[in-house]
Amino acid sequence: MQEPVTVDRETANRELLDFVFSWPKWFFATTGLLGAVITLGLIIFLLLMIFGLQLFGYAHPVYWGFPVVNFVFWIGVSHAGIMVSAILRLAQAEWRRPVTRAAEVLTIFSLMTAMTFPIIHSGRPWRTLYWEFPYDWMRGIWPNPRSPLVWDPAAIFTYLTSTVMFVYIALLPDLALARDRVKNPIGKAVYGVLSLGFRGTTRQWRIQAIAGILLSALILPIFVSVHSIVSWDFAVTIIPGWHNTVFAPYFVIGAVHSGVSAVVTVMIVMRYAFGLKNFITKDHIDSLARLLIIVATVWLFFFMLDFMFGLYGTEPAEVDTWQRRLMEPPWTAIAIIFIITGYIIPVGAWLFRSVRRNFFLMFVTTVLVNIGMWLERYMIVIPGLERKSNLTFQYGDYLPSAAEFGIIAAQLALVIAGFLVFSKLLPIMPAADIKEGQILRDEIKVGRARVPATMREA
Amino acid sequence: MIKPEAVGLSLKIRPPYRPSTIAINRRSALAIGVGLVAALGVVMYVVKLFSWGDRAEWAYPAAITLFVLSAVSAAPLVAFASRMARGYWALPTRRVVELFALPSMVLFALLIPILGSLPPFEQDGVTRANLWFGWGGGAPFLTDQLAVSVMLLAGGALMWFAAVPDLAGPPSRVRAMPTWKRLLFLNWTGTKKQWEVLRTGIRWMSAFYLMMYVFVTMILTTDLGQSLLPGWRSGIFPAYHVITSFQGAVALIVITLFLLRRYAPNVGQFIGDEQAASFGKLLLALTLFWFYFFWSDFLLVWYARLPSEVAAVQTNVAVTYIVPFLIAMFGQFLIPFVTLIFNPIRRKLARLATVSVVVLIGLLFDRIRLFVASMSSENPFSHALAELPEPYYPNVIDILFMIGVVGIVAAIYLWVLSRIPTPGGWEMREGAMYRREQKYMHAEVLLLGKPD
Repeated sequence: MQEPVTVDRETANRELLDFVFSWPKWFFATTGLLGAVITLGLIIFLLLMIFGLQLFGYAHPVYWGFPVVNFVFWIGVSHAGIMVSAILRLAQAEWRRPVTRAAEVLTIFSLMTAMTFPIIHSGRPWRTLYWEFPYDWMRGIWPNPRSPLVWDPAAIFTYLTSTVMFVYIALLPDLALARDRVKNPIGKAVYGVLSLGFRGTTRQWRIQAIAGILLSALILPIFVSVHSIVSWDFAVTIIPGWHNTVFAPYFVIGAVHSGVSAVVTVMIVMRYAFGLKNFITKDHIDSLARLLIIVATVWLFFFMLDFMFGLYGTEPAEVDTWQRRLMEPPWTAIAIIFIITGYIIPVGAWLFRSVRRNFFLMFVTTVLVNIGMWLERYMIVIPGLERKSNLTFQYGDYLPSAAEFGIIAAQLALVIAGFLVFSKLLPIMPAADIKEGQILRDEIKVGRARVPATMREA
Repeated sequence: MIKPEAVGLSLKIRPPYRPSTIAINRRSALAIGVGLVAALGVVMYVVKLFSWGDRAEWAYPAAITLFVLSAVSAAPLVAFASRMARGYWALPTRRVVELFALPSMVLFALLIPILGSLPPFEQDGVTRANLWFGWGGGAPFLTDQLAVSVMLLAGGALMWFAAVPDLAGPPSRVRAMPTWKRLLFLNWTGTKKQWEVLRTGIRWMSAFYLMMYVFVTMILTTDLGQSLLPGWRSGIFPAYHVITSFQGAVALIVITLFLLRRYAPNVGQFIGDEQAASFGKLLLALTLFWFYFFWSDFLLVWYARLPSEVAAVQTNVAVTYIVPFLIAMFGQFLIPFVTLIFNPIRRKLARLATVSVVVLIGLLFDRIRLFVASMSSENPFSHALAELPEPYYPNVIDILFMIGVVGIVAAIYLWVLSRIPTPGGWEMREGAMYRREQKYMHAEVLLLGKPD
């Protein structure tokens, strides 16, 4: 049975803007804690600049470690926004409305965080900057446009730009709402400038709606290209375990799996932290869980293709890599944990309606998915590198250092802090969209039953 | 949103709308023509059986078999997808597409000689690449046939299960039936429990059919494709095949709907621009997927420059089978892409059907470039092609065989269309309950009920 919650317009405005205009104590405590973790990360970064990459666990032949794994992971999480927002908008899924903004904002902050990893990975970033900006064309050394490492920034920056535009256009009516409600004159001026003079005229609404739909359609190819290109960073090489044609869709669907799971986690936290019980209901997480069952199963199919066609050619190096991934410690344990947490436990649980409609269990299972998906990326990146040479004396092992774990914690804190600060300054729920959804909501009487219904333009 | 056909919205619960079967005049030119082509197909099949064991002789039959697997066997999955997404626009088309489960049964007969002509996995101590990894169990012949049989049975059961409420008639009629017939009709009297079982059953059987379809595609495309062409190793290929199969299935469904609207008014009255617009969007999306999957495959081989992989791509893309590849690329991607981005083409069934014909031609040539290259390869036991093979051209029997298979599929479809009521009555009635037009301020809106 669906349980739609309807609140009047005034209550919706008040509750959705409540966190923007209030200063709860937990906000200071949380930002303080996050700030401390981020400071720790900055200290590690400073030490990294002084001592170089020896601070990390890199050892020949493994020079891509945690930073690259994290880069792939956060790019993956960033796929939540567009999956939830653009695709569901084009598919006219009504339940998307309260979910979209959080997903888009998660996209922005996880993308920005992901972009810091190549800088960290370079060890001494100023040297990179020195050689890159301004580029010395007189040397006659041209960037190689055929390198995925050139495609990567192009795709990621395009994705970030278009996501920011996407969020901003959807934000306009809410910024206008905040402008009209804020009492502080500075706030009024800032929201006034940001809302671009939005007054809610018919023409403005029409343009805003069309822009949203057009951006939804235009952003989809970018969405697909980003993680495909990240996958090609690996797959175009001939390193065993990496050179597989299935990598592009496998990475994209894995990204959607981890991203949508992250959205569910964030929404459940938001529901309690921001007091949004009227807007994030069991119906929403139920719908997201159903979507996740399909996404996770498709992801498993692609994983199986990667595995089976890795072994298919019976090339010794490829078979060795898979043997290492699945049969040798500590990889066996990682593989087992990854498959259990990434698929077996969550999807097994989501098959039950009672789990799909339970906030606590959904929180736990979606966190498990992201643990599993992080381990998956770790399992993809490292074993191939450890055995990339055909010569056994060139084999090596990688053991992450404490500094790398510190960087992970700091980056996680950075994403959460970014999200929290955004929620403090701007409405994290699309108020206009939610109110539109409530107007379009209706009921159909079938016999004695009342069935929830939605209005669509005929 | 495009308005549904008024007749679909106006269906009533009482007196209930009951669909009828489509009357096909056996003496009409259409029936005679399809029958003759189907008979030709049977004759050609028998003629081809004399080439049992000659793999190259079965190259073009393998291509048309994979074409049937793609377009025809994938069609019932569209009904599954629309039920999952609760897409009311697809209501009049669900039965139409489920009926394709029966013609896809020809796969079983077609695959017997094709799988029978495959070389063993190991010869003179050399093993060719395969997905069975030395596992016995009669692979690939027994394993593939078993998987195909399970898939076909699941499809047939799904078709039957969804049709039972329309076929069974009133409870008094069912109770009067002999036991075997009553069991066949699931003892259907329309109790609440039976409806619950029916819905759950359809959902699970559809999911099972989808899984079997993907599995069958994976093993058949490997055993009849990659495994036979040295150097061809592509993890994305089964997924490419599944995606292009969905594209072909949607194209086939659009053509079928167009013909039904034109020649079968009792079905055609429910089919209009609403279906065209939705199938058009789906076809456009799948067209874009064609490019994505093809490019993901091609780019890696082009970039890595491994000689064995490059030779395989030169064979079925760039050199040996470049003509079929170009036809496939134009048919499956370029023409549909540049036409379907325009609303006037995507939203009109006749125009969409024209594009769909192009897509199906592209699909056929795609299967030819892929599977003829593999089935006619000289030495599947080597790790790389020593030199690029010459194209393997079809002879008259191959061409007649392919035409005949299309005839057999069409004949079976027409037969089942004349036996099972179309469109699905109970779903149409249900759809009419959950959809109604109403006024909202100055606008006409459609109210869509979304039950659990």
